[in-house]
Amino acid sequence: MKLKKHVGILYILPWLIGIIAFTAFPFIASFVLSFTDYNLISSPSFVGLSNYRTMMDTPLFWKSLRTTFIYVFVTVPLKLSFALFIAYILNFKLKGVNFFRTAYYLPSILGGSVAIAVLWRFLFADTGLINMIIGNFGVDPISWLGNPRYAIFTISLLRVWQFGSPMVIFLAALKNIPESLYEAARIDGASKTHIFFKITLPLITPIVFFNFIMQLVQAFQEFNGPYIITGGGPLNSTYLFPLYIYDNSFKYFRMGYGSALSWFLFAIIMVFTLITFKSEKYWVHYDGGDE
Amino acid sequence: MKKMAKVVAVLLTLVMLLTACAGNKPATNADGEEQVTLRFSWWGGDARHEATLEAIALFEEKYPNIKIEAEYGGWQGHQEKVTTQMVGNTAPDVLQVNWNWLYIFSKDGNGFYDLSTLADINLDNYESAILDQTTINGKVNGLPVGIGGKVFYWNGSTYEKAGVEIPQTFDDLFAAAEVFQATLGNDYYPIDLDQYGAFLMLLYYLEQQTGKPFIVDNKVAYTEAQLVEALEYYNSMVEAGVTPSMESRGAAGNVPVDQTPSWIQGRYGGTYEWDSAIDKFQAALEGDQKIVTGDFLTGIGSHPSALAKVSMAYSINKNTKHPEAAAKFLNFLVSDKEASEILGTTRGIPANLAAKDTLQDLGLLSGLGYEGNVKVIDNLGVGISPYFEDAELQAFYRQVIEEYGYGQINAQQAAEKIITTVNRLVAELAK
Amino acid sequence: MKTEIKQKKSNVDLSNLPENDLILRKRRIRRNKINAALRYTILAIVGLFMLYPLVWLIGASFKTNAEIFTSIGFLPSSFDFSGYVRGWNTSTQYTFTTYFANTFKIVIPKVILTVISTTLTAYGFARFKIPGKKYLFSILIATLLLPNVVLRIPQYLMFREFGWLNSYKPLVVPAAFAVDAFFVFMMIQFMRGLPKDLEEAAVIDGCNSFQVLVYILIPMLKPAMISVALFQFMWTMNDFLGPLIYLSSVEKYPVSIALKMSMDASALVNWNQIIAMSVIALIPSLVVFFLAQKHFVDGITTTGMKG
Repeated sequence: MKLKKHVGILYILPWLIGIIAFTAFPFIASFVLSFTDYNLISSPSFVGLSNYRTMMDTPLFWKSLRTTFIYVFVTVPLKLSFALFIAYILNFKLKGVNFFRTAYYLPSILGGSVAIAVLWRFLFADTGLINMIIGNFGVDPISWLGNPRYAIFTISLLRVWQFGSPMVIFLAALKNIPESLYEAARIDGASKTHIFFKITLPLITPIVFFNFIMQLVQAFQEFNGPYIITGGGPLNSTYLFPLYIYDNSFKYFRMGYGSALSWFLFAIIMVFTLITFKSEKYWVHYDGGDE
Repeated sequence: MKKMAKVVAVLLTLVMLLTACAGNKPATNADGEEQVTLRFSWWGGDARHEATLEAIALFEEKYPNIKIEAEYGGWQGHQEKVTTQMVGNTAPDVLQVNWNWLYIFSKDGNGFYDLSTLADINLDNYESAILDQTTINGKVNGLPVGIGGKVFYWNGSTYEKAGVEIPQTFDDLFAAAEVFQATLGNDYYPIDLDQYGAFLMLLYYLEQQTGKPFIVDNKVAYTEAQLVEALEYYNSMVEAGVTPSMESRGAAGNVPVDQTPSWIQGRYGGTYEWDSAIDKFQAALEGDQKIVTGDFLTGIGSHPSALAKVSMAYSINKNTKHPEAAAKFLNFLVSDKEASEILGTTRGIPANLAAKDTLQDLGLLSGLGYEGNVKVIDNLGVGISPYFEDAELQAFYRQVIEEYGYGQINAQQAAEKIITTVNRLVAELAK
Repeated sequence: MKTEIKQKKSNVDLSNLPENDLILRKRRIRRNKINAALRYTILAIVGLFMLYPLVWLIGASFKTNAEIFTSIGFLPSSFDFSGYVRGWNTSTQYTFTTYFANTFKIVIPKVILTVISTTLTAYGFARFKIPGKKYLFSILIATLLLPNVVLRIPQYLMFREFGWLNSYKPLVVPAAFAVDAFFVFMMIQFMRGLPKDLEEAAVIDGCNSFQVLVYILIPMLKPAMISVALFQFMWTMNDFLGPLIYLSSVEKYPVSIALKMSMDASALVNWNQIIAMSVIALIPSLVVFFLAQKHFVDGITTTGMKG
């Protein structure tokens, strides 16, 4: 098995080279920049922790952070639940399942295109489709995009609507479960719920784990939604942290501060990721197949 | 093990091949002695792209030894692109820049090529006041492309429907609001002001009253009391139904006014908009509604207070390898008769007097944009600070008026905020 | 498969069982039918939410600007195809033919390189003892956590040093080195979920690690690899900022940039053109997804557990 150890390094060699060649420099550079005042035109000047101190004193920083947390903890559970639920249903041999699968994946393909901005406004504007529908039920039009308390949920809904990607990944995981297991369980008379919770779910926990972490990371880094649909408003109620970072780095030419903000976000996401990793041994089963 | 070695060998070869292919790709350069290639970048929409490409083709005909490589696209992302290029010293030879970028990329005046040192560029075609706006520390950093101003434009059809004359004074606006509500409905407004428009209205009010512009000597020139007065005046406009509240506007989403049903269907009776952009507002209107160019509203004071600024400029990369060729091209673009005809008003009314004359002679100077432009120049206020358009300041203007409009802060707090924040940001910019 | 089994059972049972069991059998069949109906209903309703916005977009590609922003229905008042024609020809020196070709020049190599490099790397992490593996894995995850914005300028400067500007290299070459930690992590998770028995058997039979990978693991990893290819395809098609910064020649632009060519505040934007082209830009991803379906349908039933 000693041979195996060295062979392993060979397999990850491309990745290692990639890290050194493409990732290390930008990472380190941005970290160093976070301790500087850098307006991109003149050389950076060292300012120590001043950027980090400025953050704490800026109300917009806190507001953006709070908004981001709300967004993440609403969007991620909803999105994952939908993805798993629909993947589960699509896993059955139903007629026309191909069509449904494609239909559910379509929104994700649209991604962050300009068409989405037009579309979402069409849905949620005061004269939009949603208000028209609820109007039929006698409800007054709601200002989804204009009310600071609701706007963030339109962004959340956009991403939940695009649950296609985690759904596809769940599907791939469900496909990996051998039919023989299901057969055996059914012969034993197990109910569907029993099968799902005692067989299916445990076997796909590595993928649930993956999807959870990835959705969490992506939600914390959500930029496109607010950028193209609400511009951060109204009243900064959809000013997610990545948008704050972007504005500071590229629009206001405060690259030093922007870098500091990024590393702050990095730390936050890291904390949540670590917590999730630490919990891994309690609920994630590997080497699936042995019951 | 042998197979493993094979795989590694293949991978390493791949890596070597790919990096070797990098080779030397120098910035596009001459492949002969006489032949010169210039890179020229701009942003815009369809009309501007087509016109500019045509003008470039014409230039290449007249100067066969100079080839122009066009780099262009939409507005989104363009600032980032130019920024990365400036930082990485890979910017094109000639570039179209936003006016406020000049002060970011060239704080001391050395960020771009000093155009006054290039013989082929005729600076006589520019009024000195305009040229000053693109001159930093005595060095001409860019050629003003056009002067744009904010103009009062009215939906003539809506006013006709209400039976109201086009407003000349602020009092007219208030009177119009009453009639609009009575005859057309509560969702009709004499004028629409978005966040930026509302903030500018404060400045319009105060400059007309005091004769002072917003920023003087890098500080806000108005007192807190004056700002409170202006804010409360704006609020009275909202309450009287002259202009929609921030909240009701917000319901349509973060969308330019010309894309809202309220504008398209004529419920907004007017707007305070750039002369160069008004054509798209006209085109957006449903049916055969017509926009009318309005005079500048009076009634607050005696000082002219129209807002105008250089819209964009053409600059030459200070590290260009072919400054003379670039100068020839630039001069052609801004003053050549045929080029001016081709380019028309795709970049607004030209600031270059030769171009303007050409268009005038051809009768191309007409329409809402031109009418507005004339009025702006007639009513010019004192002029704005170069930092006025800074992105962070702009975000702040929108934010503070939005907070005030939504009732999150009162006039006093808003006025305080304006003074402290603007002073602070301008001080940082001017450092 | 399920329905087959059910039918087989009823064929066997019906001839032998007493009456009670027959009733139970009939009840079970009816319950299954209700379940199926329920499933279809859910799928249909959710499907409606998924599809309506897209149907609206297609309708919008035929509408005038005013119609797009004011009317609710998705049927246009008239089917104006000019959006597609003018949109395809663009106001630039090139048509979308060029832009689509460019997109594929970027996407296809990138996808292929990604799948290969990711699988190799994940294999290394998932199945071998590597010195410092824990730290390397943490680095892998860490690369996911930093927002891209701040890396952009340093990366640009780096690629400038390599001499790769105005080429597709900065967009494609990194894929050969598994820089997308998302995919590496995903493949690692999939691999760790697979039983090691077959691999161990193969090693005992004398296979080396590479053969194990190719002949044993990859067949089992097909859905995962297809997912990687699918996502990378889709995301690369939508990638805007990358190409924008690294490409300066318009003739090298991919579709993602061409779509925003006409959008400027100063000018009149013909939304039907932009939407029409956006709809067309969806098609490659849709086609790829459709083709990939086969591999999701087959699934992994040949794990050798049955044999």
